[in-house]
Amino acid sequence: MKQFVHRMVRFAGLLLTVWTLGLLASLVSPQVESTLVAKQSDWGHVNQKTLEWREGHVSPDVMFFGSSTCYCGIDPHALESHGLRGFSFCSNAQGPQHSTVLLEAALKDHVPAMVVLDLYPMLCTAPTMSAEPLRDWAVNGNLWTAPWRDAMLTMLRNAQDPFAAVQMLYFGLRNTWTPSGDRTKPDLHGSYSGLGFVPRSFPALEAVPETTPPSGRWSSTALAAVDAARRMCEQQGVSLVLLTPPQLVQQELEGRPSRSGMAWIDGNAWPSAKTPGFYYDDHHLVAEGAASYSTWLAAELNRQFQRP
Amino acid sequence: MLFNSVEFLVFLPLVFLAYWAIQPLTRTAAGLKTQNALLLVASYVFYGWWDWRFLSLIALSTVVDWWVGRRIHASRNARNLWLALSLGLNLGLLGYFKYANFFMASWVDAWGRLGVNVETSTLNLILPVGISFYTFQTLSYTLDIYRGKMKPTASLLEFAAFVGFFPQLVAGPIERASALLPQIQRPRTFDLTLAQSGLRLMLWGMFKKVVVADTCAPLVDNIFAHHEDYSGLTLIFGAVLFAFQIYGDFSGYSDMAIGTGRLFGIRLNTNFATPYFSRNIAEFWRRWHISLSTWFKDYVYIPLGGSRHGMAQTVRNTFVIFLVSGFWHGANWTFVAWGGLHALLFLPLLWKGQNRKHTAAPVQESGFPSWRDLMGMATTFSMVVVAWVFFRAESLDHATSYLARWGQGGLKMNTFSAAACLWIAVMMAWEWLIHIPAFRTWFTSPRRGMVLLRWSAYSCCAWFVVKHFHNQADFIYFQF
Repeated sequence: MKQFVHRMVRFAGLLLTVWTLGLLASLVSPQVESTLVAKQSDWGHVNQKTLEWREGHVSPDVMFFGSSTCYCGIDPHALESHGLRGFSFCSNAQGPQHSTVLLEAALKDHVPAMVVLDLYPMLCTAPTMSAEPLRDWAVNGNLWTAPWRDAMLTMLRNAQDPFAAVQMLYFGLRNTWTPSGDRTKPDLHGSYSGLGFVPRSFPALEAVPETTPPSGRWSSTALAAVDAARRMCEQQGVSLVLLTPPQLVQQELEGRPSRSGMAWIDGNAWPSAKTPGFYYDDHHLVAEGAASYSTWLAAELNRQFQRP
Repeated sequence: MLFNSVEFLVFLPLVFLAYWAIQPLTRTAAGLKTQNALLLVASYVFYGWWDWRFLSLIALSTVVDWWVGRRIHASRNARNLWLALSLGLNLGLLGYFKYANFFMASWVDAWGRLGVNVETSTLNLILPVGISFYTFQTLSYTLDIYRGKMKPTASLLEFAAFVGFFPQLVAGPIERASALLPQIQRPRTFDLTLAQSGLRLMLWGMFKKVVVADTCAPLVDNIFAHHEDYSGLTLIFGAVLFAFQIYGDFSGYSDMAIGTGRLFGIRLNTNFATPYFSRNIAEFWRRWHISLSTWFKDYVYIPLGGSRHGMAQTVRNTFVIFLVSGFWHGANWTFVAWGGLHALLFLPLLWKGQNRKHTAAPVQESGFPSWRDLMGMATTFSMVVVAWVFFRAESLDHATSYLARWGQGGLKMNTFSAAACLWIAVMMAWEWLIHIPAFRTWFTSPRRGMVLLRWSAYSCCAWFVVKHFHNQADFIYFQF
């Protein structure tokens, strides 16, 4: 047994050496980096929005948290016509579990008047925190100081994704030495237009796709995350709005959170919610759709502001 | 608990250390009992992590079969009755949890086809993970005692540790009591070589599951779900990917189970032996899910008469085991069709008397197969891929519609994954290389430089396992 433990320790030493060599090779070569660690990507523009937030020129009245339906469907600029400013902290596949962790960090940076949680139904059925948004933030994000670092570590713990720790460490160091620039895979169908918004330029649909709407049930962890968000907002005196994004093929979930203490806006009530020409798939809006939806949503949110 | 989970990464070292810490005590009967008790508790924690309520089913099956085993051995007149009790309980549990809804739906459907509307409600049942595996394991115990091939154990603890042994509890290999129980009954000593080979096997199994199978999984799911939208070539690609997905998934699990067993000084049987290098269907079935194939051969095929009573009965028995084997996989006609198709592919070999051809390893001394062998491998793999479509499809209509589109759309590919192809190539190339004697000797050489090279290779393998670890997808065979 002693010999076994001795060999295991020696192997662990070699393993660390080989891994370190791999990371050093990644620093030198973009090809090695994308094979061994990850390829940085503009998809969702987490890099741009975190950079913009880090510069500290934004102090929004409304902060948005959610998934791709949020960052390509809601243009925070639309709030400006109501004298409000918004900012979107949305990323790919970001469910309520991730949003709540990021919200906690954001509230330490800035306390807005309102927080909107964009809840794409199928992301609310996940029983555990998925790794995709964590990796998006770890690989493409530019927020490495507290409280964001703590948020990433919380997501790391909950998503149980050891490799995201390697990515966080690697890109945290690498971004301080070399700008990502030419190593980043461009998003050919979305350009960053500020405040976290990424309008999409995919061809619009001509008809409603023939798919059966999936059904499901709110997971207990998603419910707990929404409840935690409610408590956080209550403590800070912030209004919390839960938002269901518009979908061409509407999904219905069972067991949604109770409405007490929170406003709920259904994006499917937007008059153009069933217009195929505003979507590029059954739930993502193209730029024109986002413009129309954002105008409608800004008016709805403004109405929430007017409430006593 | 999944092998590919963080919980298991904590659970395994803890159990491993506690298990071998007790080892010096195992020279006494009390010490061995303590070690087996630890194994049993660890196994129940491992299983209960998924759903503790179903531990009662394992416990019930364990207690009844242990008791029945003793009764069969002691009884002269009522042996058949005791065996019937064991069969009734195990097959009853399996039938209720796995097949009740299927039979009810088939009943309603059959009457519906005759124009009679029968109303029935379905049961809201959860299929207990691993029920097909551990019921077959306990059944082999009572059947072997009934046939006088082994004696029952007097210790319920030993028997419970055998049934519940966590590495293979939920997805096999299905171990025979005659192979595993004696290992539980005698003191184990720590074997450095065995433990190291166990770790290597665990790493390789994890690679096959996490890197290969889980990379293929989303593509396969997408292609099978939207097959109407894809060209024939894409559908063929989807079926081939599924062939490697299920191989990586299931053989990966088996490797991890066998490897984990070795860490505890217990040798489990090989479950997969490079099945995709088989040169005919009969060889494929000697190399795929070996523990299940041999179970059906020993407890169904041979008792039915095997191949001893002429061609007609041999054909009948062949169909019986393939259909039952298909049905064992799941309560769906697709699995029956999958089994039936394999039986049909087996028949020509039976008629020509070639079903026992190719018993030697497919990888030759030189490393290169003959053209004849290569053609055999390609043909066998193609047939297996066609059959996998039935296995993967949601329904028979889905399978036939999927296959009917194979000729459509020319050479257009709607979706492709270079990463999946690369990982499949790595997996298959390694499985070929490691069976070439000269390469094996070179790679396992104890020279210092080779040790460094080998450990570096393991480190790279571990890197990609960790990189792909986040999926934590269930194993396909958990549903069976």
